[in-house]
Amino acid sequence: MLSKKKKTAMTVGITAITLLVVFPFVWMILLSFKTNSVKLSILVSMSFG
Amino acid sequence: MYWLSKKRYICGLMLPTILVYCVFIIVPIFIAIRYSFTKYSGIGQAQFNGLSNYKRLFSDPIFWTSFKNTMIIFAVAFILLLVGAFFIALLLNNHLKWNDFAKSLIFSPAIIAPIIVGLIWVYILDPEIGVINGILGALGLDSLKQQWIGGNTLSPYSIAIIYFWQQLGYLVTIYIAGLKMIPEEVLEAVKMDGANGFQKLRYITVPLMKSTISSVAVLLITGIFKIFEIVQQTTGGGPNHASETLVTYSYSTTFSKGEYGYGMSLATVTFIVSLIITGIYLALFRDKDEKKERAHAK
Repeated sequence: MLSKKKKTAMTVGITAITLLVVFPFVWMILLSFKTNSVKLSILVSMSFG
Repeated sequence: MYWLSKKRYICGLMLPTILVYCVFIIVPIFIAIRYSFTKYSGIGQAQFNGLSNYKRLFSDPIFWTSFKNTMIIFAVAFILLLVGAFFIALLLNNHLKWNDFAKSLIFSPAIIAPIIVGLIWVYILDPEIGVINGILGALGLDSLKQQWIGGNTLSPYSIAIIYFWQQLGYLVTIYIAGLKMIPEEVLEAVKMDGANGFQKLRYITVPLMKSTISSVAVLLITGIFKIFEIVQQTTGGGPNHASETLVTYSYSTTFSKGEYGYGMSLATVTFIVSLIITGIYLALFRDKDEKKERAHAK
């Protein structure tokens, strides 16, 4: 049996890895709801301040 | 099962597989090798020109750039995936609350087409419109902004990361299957002997997983040398062939420039390089195990 500390650490690790893997999908889905001009303006405003 | 042991039945059962393998794998390889010794534009007859394609290839700076990029992608992706996927599989092999859900999410990039993977990552890594540089800019860390793709240096590393993202779930699944094969009694015995986590990993898990690790390594070597769509979608091999890999260079030479003979010589060299690396890996690791097993059997 795993100790509670170990279980928590493992759950945090798995959650972090899963979030990193899922992030590109989330970003793709978010961008898919925008029109091209809005999409570009978001990305450009993020890039240039 | 007496009838199966007869040689003619074995040959009869193997014949369809061997035929299909020869027609679709072996024969095209030999046709490509034959074309690599010719000058051929795709129209008319191919003219035999001896070793001149290979002489040209070894003095071609774009070939060496492609070779260097392929090797960088290979080194980064191979180490990251072989080791990273193993440790993630170890984590996911425990009975934790969200493990099944996490497994399905981690596997999800493996089910989408590589060209879509490239497209998704363009919006993340692009130096102008990508989200990474966007976040860095929003945080005021402009000095950390990089040309993740399309520059002269970072493209192969970025492609390795994209490949890592795409293949992680698939390899984790293979590793988990291997971990499930380890007998429970062995793990119980180790626990009763008082071994710690590292000792269990070093003396039980890794040795019993060697065949799975070998399979993953061979899958990786062959897979990395076939990366095409990701490079084509993210950089197209540019700028000025700086992010070209052996496969994309072979493709552009063959189908964009119409130099079939030279393109086939590039494909042949790529095939030989991946064959050599697979051979070295198997000679270093698999033979040792087999020899040991044979010695134990005696």
